[in-house]
Amino acid sequence: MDTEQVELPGTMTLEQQSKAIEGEEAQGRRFVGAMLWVNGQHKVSNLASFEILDDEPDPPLGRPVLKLTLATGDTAAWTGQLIVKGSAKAEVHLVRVPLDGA
Amino acid sequence: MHLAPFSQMPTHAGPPGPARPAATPWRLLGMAVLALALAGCSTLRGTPQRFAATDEVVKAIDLTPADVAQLVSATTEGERNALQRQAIAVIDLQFHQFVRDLAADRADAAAGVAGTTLVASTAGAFVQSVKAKTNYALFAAGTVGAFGIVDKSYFYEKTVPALVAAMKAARAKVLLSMRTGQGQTISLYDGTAALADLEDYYSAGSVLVAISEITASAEATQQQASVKIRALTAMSDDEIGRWRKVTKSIWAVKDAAALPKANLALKALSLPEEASPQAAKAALLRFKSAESADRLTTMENALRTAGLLLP
Repeated sequence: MDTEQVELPGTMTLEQQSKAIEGEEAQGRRFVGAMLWVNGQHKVSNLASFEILDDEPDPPLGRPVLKLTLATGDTAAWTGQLIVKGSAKAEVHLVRVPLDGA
Repeated sequence: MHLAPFSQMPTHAGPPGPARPAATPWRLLGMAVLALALAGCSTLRGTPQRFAATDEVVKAIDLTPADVAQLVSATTEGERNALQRQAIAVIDLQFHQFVRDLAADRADAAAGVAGTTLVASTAGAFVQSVKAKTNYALFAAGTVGAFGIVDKSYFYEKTVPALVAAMKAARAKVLLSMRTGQGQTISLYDGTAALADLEDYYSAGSVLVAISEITASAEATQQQASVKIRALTAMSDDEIGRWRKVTKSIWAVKDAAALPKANLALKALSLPEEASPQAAKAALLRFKSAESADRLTTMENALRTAGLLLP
């Protein structure tokens, strides 16, 4: 499994981070997880890992959405700490919703 | 404390008796022979007796140059796979013999040095004569030095296990490629490709390839450590949709029918053509991942030109 690590900027809002992850997955990657990390500018940020997919995943991954709280019945694909808009969030969940038309 | 064996060793200023100036060199020579005897001790090699002699098994497999040549003109998957498997078996047997020899030679040399140095140093400590002490010390130092040179030249210090691991890794990569090829039709993986893989497989089991493998791995690690971590940006829904379409179009390159179109796309991207759909797909995916400001538009244009872009 080939993976790539990229910065998920801690300056972004949760919605922007969700779109950043979705954009990366649209390029044939799968979000594996993220951790707190100090970037090249010596600021605390997030380091996200993506698996590089050689083939289309079956079933489809679904659209990734980051949330601070899980709705009843939601199951997270990932849960962990993130820097969001400059502040640390102890528990952020990534849930997957079906893609439009999928 | 009775020290007869060592105290009775002849020295120039030793106990009464006729002087035997030539005796010491002969004893030293004897110790060198002892070192060689130690080197031959099979229990120091760490490998048990083989269940069957490699040479005999290779002979029994009876792979002739004509068989190898026949591989190039193989017309069926069965014939290709049978000949390739036969050659793999021979290469495997000879590689494992090579590894055993490499490990045994290293152990033998080390044991020989240790044993000889121990004997020479101990003898040096027990004899009375200063001159004899000096002789033994010189011999001990000489032994260590001589074997040190041998070690450095032939066994790359203590790197034999690392070299063997690198050779095994390189061989495993080629073997995987051959096993994948064996499952393909003769048109996709012909005899020439099978023979080329066999050559790669043989070469992968050599020390030179192991060194280049270790060097490449070290360089990759260094490059990875120094590479700047890319920062993600929030994409618009339009961009996400376009990327999704591009990725799906590349993933759709699965069989030989899609190969000409994939090669057209590669040509449009100024990349060399590929021989298999898997390789073409991998090349397109690699290009897609490359850092470039307008790579989305470039990819779309190339795939559209080749008729690969999904609606």
